[in-house]
Amino acid sequence: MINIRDINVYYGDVQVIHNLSMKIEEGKTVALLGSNGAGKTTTLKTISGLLSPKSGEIFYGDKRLDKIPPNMIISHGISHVPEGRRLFPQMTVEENLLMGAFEKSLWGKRKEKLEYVYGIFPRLKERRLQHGGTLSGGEQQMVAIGRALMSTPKILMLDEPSLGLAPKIVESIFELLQNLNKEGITILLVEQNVNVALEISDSAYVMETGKIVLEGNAEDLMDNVYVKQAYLGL
Amino acid sequence: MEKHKAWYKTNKLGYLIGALFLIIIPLFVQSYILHILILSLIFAILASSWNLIAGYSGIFSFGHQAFFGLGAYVSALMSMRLDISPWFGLIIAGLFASIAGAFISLPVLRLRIIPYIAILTLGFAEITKLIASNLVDLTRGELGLSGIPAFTSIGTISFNLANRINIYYLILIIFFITILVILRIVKGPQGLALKSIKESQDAAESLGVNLTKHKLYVFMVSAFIAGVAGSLFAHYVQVLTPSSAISIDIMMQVLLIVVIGGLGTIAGPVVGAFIVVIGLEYLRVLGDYRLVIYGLIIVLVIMFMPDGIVRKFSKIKFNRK
Amino acid sequence: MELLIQQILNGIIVGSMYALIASGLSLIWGTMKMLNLAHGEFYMLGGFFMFFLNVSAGINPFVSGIISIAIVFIAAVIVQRVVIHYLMEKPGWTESHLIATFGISVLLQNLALNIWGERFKNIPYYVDANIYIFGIGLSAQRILIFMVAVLVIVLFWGFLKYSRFGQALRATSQDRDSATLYGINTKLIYMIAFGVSAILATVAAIMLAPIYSVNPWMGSDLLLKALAVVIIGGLGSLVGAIVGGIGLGILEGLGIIVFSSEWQNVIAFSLLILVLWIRPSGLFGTKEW
Repeated sequence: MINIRDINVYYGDVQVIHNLSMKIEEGKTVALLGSNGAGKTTTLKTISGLLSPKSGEIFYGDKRLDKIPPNMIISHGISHVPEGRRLFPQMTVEENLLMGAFEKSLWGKRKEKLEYVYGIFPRLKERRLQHGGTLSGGEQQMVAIGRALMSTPKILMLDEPSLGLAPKIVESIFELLQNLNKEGITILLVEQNVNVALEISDSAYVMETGKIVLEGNAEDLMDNVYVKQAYLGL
Repeated sequence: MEKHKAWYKTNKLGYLIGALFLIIIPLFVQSYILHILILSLIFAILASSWNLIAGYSGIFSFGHQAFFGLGAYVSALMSMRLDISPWFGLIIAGLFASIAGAFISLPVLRLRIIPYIAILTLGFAEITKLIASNLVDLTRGELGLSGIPAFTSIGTISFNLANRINIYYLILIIFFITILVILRIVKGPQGLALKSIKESQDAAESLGVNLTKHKLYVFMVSAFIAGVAGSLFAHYVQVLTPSSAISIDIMMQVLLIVVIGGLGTIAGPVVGAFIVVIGLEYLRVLGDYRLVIYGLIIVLVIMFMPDGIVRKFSKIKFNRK
Repeated sequence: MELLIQQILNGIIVGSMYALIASGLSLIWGTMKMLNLAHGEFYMLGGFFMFFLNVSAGINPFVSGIISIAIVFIAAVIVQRVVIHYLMEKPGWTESHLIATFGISVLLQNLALNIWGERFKNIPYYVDANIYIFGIGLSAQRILIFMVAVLVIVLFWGFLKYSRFGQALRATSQDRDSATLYGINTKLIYMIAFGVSAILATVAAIMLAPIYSVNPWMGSDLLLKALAVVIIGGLGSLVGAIVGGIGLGILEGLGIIVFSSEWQNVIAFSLLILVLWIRPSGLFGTKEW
């Protein structure tokens, strides 16, 4: 579904992604793992167009994703839940959610999508008039995911959804991701919480200093000695 | 570390050559060019003082003309109305500007948003200018002061306009002192503190750097130097009007000088001053279009010579949210 | 007593235009985190175009106004597209925008001076009548100014609050990356916001020109006042810009009774310094749009 071929990405003069290639197949959950500063967030930002690769190609089906302006990516069914949720702090929960369907082609369906999201997160309906900045971390993550779902995504990319959340909430979020995947949404999951991520993923890539150092299906990686030592602390 | 040392050495050599050049050059030029060189030096002093706060400590003031003008007026008025020697005037001008600097730094030092600092200092300079033009009994307002006395002779060395070369060397000495003072500040421990303030106020504070003390100190030194430059200007050109000495045009020239030369470098404002002041003379043929060109150059330089200009600033990672 | 009321009314009327100009500055601060030091030059350009269309070409004031607004809007969008947009993508934006807009201000002001000359130009009142309210005489021109100010501010506010553009603008100012991810062309938003802010300045220029005069320096003088207003009211706050603008207008109106007019700006700037000293975030606090 998404096919990344040999991309190189720079921040100014500093190269942060080196010859990265990756495949995300339709209907699968793919995890992108690695420690802080490995380049995971940069990879997501490059897919969603916030950054452009200096060389290499990103294909989405047979379309060149890296040639599409960043604000048009969403209309192709790719939704990105950014690191640290990044809500609109001075908008209410409902306004934040509605922003998810702001794109012209989605705006017409915003009412039914809103009901759908409230169905998934009844808590958000209770808080619909509260401002984004006043919510707890878990609620903010719900809004962030809800906002992404408003756009009827085919692919959902999540950047560290478990960051700073209590284990119980993390569990429920990952359960939700599994359900969404069953409904047919392809998921690309960036995580430092390797154990939990591998549990729900079909396959995974491991990044270090801007390169892919390991790839394979999730079960194999969980048994991999290197992964065990480096990330699982076993 | 080695690399740093080598850089410092070549830099030292550069300074030395530059200094020698400035010492020898007046022996070979006519009085008109000498005049331009003198103005260049005065602006080099002024621009260096602004660079000390804007380039090295990140206090982006838009009101430096206030200190320059204050120094010029204080020194000129004292020599004219009270018969105080311009030599004393020079020091008192500096002190006056420095006190004004301390006063205005009180609100400035509390601000962390750069545009706020720009507005506040701009407002302060505007007040200074308005006072100078409104106190007609004292300053003759926009008519201006004329016949400001030159520096009095020391023995047989006189500093009137017939002996421009002496004025040149006088100002050159003060220029050297200025550069030494600034070098001492930025290369010493004080410089490190300033740098840490510029990179991150919060981090510097948490490391125990006493922000207020350091900033107040630099602000006062910078204002002092600007005041001295103003006094030199007054006793050299011997005519002053609020629009020639305190207007935003002075600030524009300083900005142009430092931006072209390189913000946060010792040599930048000096090189910039010579380029701009000499350029100003050559652009005279353009008449009033000169200022149009100035504006254009400011915009073009900030856009296409970012390394020359915001070199120091660009080291801070640009965080766009 | 009559003089006092007269001055307060005049203050409110002129202040309502300060509010317009300050709102433009505030809008740009709120969305792009930039202080536009060239804002006053759009006001100046607006005044000149109005003069040429209305006085030199003899076109009716309303049509002249609309054309002037359109021209200044286009000029502002070009400035944004060529200079501001370029710098925004580069490091050092917090300082570079100040230097660049200052340069643009010097450039435009002196261009106007060279092309159009330094003679002050006058525009006749758009409406010529006097209206008496409770025995206090006011020219219809001044009433018109106030009405236009109220109309424009209500339109502007409604536009930001209820239009699709307004929502996109708020999203952009609160989180640029998120806005982009959800389909907003933030570059276009910045361009239009910059143009809209210039429109507000132009409206003020058109309305104030018959009272003051048109000259190359009219913009820098007003910019300083607008800066005082946004600081006193709180940068980024629309309410602050309105209250601050009218407040400054009244203060100036009353100040004239006590001080002579050349001290007016000294009062305004002293107040600015005082406010920044005591309450750096302004009376109404800073916020994003």
